[in-house]
Amino acid sequence: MFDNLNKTEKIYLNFNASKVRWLSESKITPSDYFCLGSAENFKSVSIWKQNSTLDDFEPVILSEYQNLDGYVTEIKSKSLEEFFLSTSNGSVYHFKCYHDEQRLIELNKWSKANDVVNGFDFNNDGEELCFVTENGTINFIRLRSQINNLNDLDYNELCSLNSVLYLKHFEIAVSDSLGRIKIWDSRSRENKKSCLSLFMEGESSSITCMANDPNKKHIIACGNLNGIIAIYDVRSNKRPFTLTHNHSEPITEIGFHPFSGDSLFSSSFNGGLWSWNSSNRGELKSGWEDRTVNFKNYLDSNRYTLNSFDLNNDKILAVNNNLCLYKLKYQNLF
Amino acid sequence: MDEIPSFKIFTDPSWRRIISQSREVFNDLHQNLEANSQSEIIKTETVNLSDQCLDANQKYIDVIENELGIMNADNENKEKLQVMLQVWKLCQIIFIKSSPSGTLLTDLQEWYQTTNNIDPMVQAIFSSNSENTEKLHLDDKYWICILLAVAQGRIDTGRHLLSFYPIDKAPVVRTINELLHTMPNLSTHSHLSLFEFKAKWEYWQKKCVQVLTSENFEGDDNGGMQTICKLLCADESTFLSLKLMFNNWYYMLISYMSYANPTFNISDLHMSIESGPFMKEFENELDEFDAIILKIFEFDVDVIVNECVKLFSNNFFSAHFLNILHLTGKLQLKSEIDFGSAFREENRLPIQEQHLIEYSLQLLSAAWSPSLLSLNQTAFDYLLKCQMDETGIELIETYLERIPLTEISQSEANKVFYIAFQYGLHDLAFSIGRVMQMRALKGRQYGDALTWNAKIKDCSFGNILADKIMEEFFQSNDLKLLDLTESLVKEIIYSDRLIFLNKYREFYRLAYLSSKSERTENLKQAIDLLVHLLQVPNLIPFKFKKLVFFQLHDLIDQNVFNEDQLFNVLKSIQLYENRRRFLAIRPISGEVHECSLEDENSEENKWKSLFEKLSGKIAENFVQNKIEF
Repeated sequence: MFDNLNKTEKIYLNFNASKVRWLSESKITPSDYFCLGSAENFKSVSIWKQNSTLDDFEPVILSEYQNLDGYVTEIKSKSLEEFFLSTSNGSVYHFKCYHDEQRLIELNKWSKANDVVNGFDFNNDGEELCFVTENGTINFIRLRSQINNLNDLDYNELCSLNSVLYLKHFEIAVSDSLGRIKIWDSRSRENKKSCLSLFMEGESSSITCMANDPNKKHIIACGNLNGIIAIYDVRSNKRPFTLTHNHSEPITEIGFHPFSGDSLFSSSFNGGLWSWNSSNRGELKSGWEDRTVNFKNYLDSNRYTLNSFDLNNDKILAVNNNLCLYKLKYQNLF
Repeated sequence: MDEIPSFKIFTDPSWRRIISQSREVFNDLHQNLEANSQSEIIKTETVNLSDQCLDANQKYIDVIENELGIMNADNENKEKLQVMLQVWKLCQIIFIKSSPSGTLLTDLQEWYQTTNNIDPMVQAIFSSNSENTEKLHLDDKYWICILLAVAQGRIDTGRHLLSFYPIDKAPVVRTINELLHTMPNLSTHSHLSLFEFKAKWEYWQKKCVQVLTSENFEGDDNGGMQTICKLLCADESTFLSLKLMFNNWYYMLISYMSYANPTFNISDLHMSIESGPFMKEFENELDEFDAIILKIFEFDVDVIVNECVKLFSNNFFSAHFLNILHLTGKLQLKSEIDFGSAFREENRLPIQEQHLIEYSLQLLSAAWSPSLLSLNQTAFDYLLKCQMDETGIELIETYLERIPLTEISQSEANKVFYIAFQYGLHDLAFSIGRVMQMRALKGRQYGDALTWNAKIKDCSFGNILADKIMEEFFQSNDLKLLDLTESLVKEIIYSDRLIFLNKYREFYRLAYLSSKSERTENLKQAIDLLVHLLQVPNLIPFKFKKLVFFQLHDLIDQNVFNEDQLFNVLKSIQLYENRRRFLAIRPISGEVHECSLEDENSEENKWKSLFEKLSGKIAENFVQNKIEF
């Protein structure tokens, strides 16, 4: 199953990218466009196009926006032409790109002073966007309203919040630096208590990234600073299923395979792009605990921190901390 | 140094790509060598070493060449990089590829051909005369092209150009063509020994001389044919006369040697530099670049690297090249032969490490803000290879210490912490943790403070933090303060105050936050827990004891205490009062200040009420037992 991988291609960029994301409606819809958010003290986001008919990977930069107020901490695409991004200076931007005309326009910007936005997510209809910050605040933006509607949950967590995911229309999961995932109801702003708080005993390392299963929204995978991946089922309170490498390098990004929740990818500080595959023995109802898990490193040769990766259909893009952009293909899961 | 050069050019995109790619080559090379040295096959090791080094050097050259290919024409770094490429290639030929008795002809000719490429000129001739090939030979650049082609050893190109000269005009063209065609070529005759090749060459050159003296050169406009012939005969004065065409003494030298003595080796080269007239011809026009080339031919590594540093204004070339030389074992410095230098201070570090350090420092100074961590990490990779006296690691530590931790985000701080930890700088990592936990505490981000504290397991700060959290909790009654420790249960065993905080949280949840159905059961557990806590000496901080007792007061009515517990509570109160009296006489700072309620009256009342309730309960139990009995 793993050996159907085509060759890995890499090019050198001019800057270090902290996030790479395919621009597409969903992870299943194939797309040739992707965007790169810069890392460190570069403050730009750029849109690229790759030509899938060519043999070699030679993406072309279409447009660039260089006036962000900080480096990019998260990008999520809404459609082929629209995406949101958050920066280290407390802002969330809404961009629209016109690929044919090679233009990139900032549609909207919301800011929170003196804060760092660590992550955000928007719900399915695109009505609401929720972002979490380092100062422990959870904030909501009403996207469709005429006025710039930014308000926050009346609850200030006393530690930094690292990522947020929408599980259901009004339910969000927030992870923090104490290794906890809290489930909140986003309808009420006066919430003083989360619906549920999940954590692993003995493992309180800061959770750096989260992803949810494409088919079952109640399954969340998260990676922490100790290199441990935990797969939670938010419906139950039992101990999560954990996957670990034989090292304790922090995990930078995590994501499920676009088509199936049986396969998980993670990237870590020491440059590996790991694929975890729970073999399906034909039992549809079993979870990760009941199957054997195979794992493999797709970027063996890379030794520099893998900052980010993203999947689209059968392609994976990854960026590392030494100016490289990798492209891999992952075929024939089924 | 009076002036600190600005290495901001390292942040130029082209330079960054070169730096990143060179870093990969450097790391790969060293990793492979380390892997090799641990393998069991010894014989192939030495072969592998020099091959790998040559490969790596070639890769460095390729990196620069690729980048030059992509670069814009108006990029200010282009010129310097081209010069660097030239120097690097020549160094590769002279230092790495060559052996003392080996011939340098092919490599040096290739160097000449690539660094003074005549293709554009040739193409220009063809394109401007494309309709009219009969006039080709009248083009201004025609003869120069042919002469250069012959001088550079590009015989095919020369012959091709020559074919456009009308034969009927000058029949000697055919002869010259024949000579060029039969010229012995070192690469095609590699099966011959040097001696045999030399014999062949001499035989061929005699024919050239014969042509020159006896043939009829009529129809030869501007003497081009004659000049070609003279070049083939290795006529020194002809070479000298073509000074403008060659433009540089080294090109002239290489060209001359390729005809005078094609099997020349490095010592032949030296001799002809010293005794030959070529340098003198260009005496007035020598610049630093020429000096470098001369030194390369003279094998003087010291001067070369120093001059190169000056010429390129950075140590990029010298660091990488010296490293390669050092690894191949070919690094012979004139300074090392001088024994006196061994006692001089500045030569404490081996020279290749000096240059690596210089380069790393330049990288670090280019990364002028702590956010360019990746550039810093590049520098660290190089510093790690400077192992003499652990200079490298010390420099890394010094640099990491100076990163302003108060200005960066949590995730960046985590990265720095991780890097320090990775390099084995545990003390530094600990101090980073301490700064971060204090910063979090000052910003009232108790959760972050807890995370950092748990990471570094700092006991005293843990105690302070626990006290602060409890204080805030008693003032604000905000549950999330208590909940902070819910995920840290197994990790905070180093600090007893934190353990207490955790246990208190358990008590609180059991006592006040359980559902109706489990109420009584949980209350009993809660009381049990609390009484146990009271009994452990010194677990509950003195200042909170009063508040804990007041909380007990509220629970007494619920009928969940048993007899023993009541007595234990009384005992604890007694101990508490003893302590209080002791502290009144002999105050110990930190313990005296108690957390109190709003006003004194209510406190007094509370104590009264507490004693009443306690005695009431005990009396009740007593009576009941009596009755049962």
